[in-house]
Amino acid sequence: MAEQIFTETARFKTAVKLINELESNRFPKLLSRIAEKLHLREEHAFSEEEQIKLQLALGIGSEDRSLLLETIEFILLQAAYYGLKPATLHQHLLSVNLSVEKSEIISQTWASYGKATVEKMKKHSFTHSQLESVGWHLNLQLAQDNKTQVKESNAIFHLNLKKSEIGKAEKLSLELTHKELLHFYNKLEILQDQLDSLS
Amino acid sequence: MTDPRERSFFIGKSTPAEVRLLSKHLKTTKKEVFDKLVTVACMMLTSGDANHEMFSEATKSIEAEQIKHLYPGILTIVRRGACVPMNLLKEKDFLYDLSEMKIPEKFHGSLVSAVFGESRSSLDEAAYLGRPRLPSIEEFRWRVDVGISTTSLKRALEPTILCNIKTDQNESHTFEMSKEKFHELRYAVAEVLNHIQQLEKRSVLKIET
Repeated sequence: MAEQIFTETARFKTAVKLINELESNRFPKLLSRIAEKLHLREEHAFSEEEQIKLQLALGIGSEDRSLLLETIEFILLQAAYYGLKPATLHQHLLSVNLSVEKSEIISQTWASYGKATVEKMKKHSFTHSQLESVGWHLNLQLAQDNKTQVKESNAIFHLNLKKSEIGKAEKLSLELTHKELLHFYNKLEILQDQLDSLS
Repeated sequence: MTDPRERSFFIGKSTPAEVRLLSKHLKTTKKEVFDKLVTVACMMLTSGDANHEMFSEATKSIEAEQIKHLYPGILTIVRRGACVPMNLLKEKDFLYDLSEMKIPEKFHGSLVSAVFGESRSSLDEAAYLGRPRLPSIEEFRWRVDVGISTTSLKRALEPTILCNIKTDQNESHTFEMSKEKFHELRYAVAEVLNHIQQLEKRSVLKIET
């Protein structure tokens, strides 16, 4: 293989040994759980409580337990980073002395979850402000304090922006008349053309 | 002429206090002074940023006492007269109402030309522009970026759109949109436009009352 994806540090070797020694019946489920939550940067696959239960169930100590979870996560994250196909991942795992059985289970899990995980990771952004949703309502203005019998349509848009600081969100409120809407729409159409020309 | 019992006065349910004050002092008012104040009223209503200096400058030739007695009533008459669309308030009815409010005929001329004359369109325009509203989009700038790689992915190749909206209240908002969110926005705008076009076709809006 051209690139060494996994370096056999002492810690990694210990982890490999741990993985190989684990009972295989619980392994697929363990992997699926980790793979499901892989794209979430802040959340861990298992809560504190669950981790302790896991420890007892697998009959390993707490240090071993963290090493195990960390390493599995690392393997899958690397697979995502390099965009590995399941078969390639399998080969890489064998090259660092993971048992055939365990390598197969890991690659199979990657085959099921890999594509979706990578897609989700692609959408990650840590920009200051992101558009989360758009709300609107359409009004017909009938009158104002210095004018009666008005028949003007206007639309109010709420652009809900998610901020990079957790918990802060901004709602951008805009009012657009028919003419302004058309103007805006034409600009969005130009944008769309640009996007189309990319693919 | 519409039977007065069938319609209400253009000025409202009853004669406002300032108009009663006006009519009391008209016996001793010169036509030129009255006409000048009507012009000032139109100017103040048409100007987007009318202020005290403008008013003082325009009325410097008139005594303060006279301004106090005459101007508020004149302003109210012009405002309320221009409030209703021109095709709904007939000149004859307007003149009838003015007489009912005890405004002598010699002062009718300048009021009629303010409400029904050439300057009416600028009054309407100013009313439209000054209406209460939420900020509108003054400027919309965008750029399309393609992220090549990130900390989690060696090859991401994901397009994103960076936007900046400047409102007419001078606020600047910069934010990013994924392709999917952009489509949501575009769809929302198109949908609203469609609804507006449907709405404007309906007969309710076409009927000129």
